[in-house]
Amino acid sequence: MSMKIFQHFSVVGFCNTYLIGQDGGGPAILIDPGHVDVELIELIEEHHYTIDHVLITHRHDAHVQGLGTLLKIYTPEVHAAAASIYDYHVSEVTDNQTLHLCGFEIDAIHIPGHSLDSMVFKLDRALFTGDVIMSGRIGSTSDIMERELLRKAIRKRLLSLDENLLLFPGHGAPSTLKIEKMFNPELLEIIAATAELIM
Amino acid sequence: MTITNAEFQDLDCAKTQIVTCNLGFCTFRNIDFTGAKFVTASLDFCLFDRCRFLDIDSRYSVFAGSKFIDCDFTGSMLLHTNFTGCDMIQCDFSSCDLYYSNYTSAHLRDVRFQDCNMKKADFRYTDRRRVTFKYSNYEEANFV
Repeated sequence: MSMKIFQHFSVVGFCNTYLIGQDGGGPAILIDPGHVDVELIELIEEHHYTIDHVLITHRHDAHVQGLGTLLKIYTPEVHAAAASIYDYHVSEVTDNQTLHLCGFEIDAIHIPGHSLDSMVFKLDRALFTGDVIMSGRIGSTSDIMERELLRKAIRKRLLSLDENLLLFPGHGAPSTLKIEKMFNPELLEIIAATAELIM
Repeated sequence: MTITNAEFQDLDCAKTQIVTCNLGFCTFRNIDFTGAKFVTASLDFCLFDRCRFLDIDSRYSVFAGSKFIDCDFTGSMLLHTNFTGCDMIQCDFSSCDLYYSNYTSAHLRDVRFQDCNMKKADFRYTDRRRVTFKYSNYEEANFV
């Protein structure tokens, strides 16, 4: 059995939702159900999946608004760093925690800055980064303190990871850590600042 | 499927489905990809020389770091497609849908983006010479 990752995009919130399961169907994980529409339900059902777990990268509306619809259809356990999402019960995820869900081992990496509850999930060779890092940019922040918090966390926690990891962001095109290290101007700034610190 | 560092020349790959493939670091010369479908395909750090991508459908695919010389993408759907850091010379993207595609840090020389949908396309930090966006909604793209 091999892992399958399906991407779903909705114009509501412009969020990427990821469906992850074993080849052939069965229990599956949904990451960031920003908007649950007919297309997403068809994607799940056509591949014979049932959503047992939902991972939330962070609690912004564009990434969680579909939870209500999803919970009317399936009965998944919702995992997030936030203590609660709307009024739904959440299993709290902490930094460095390893989750064992649907036969997959998932590492949670806390990268605050874009939001205080931002989590990156590492699943095999894939990084689900939410709004921490996207193709060609890093997450937006509301002030300079949060910006520095994000830059520091990226430097300490993400830049040391294997650069061949595939990157699946919350918005926009997929990438790899290597591509971002080479061409993402904001990441290049962080790398340059790190080099200055070492010197 | 994974094939890397390979060289392909003078092939007709029209209407092929390139889905969840890794073809990174390959060289493609005079390949016809007309009407092909690229879904979650990885073709990063490749060389594309005189390739035809007419009317292709690309979604969530990665061409980052690749070099395109005299390539024609006319009429293509290039949604959520990653072209960051690409080097493009004499390429034609006329009548393409570039929704959420990313050209950050790309070097563009003699490239046409005429009559394109550029909504949410990312052109920040691009080095552009003799690049035209005539009849495209470039005000909906991100340049800053």
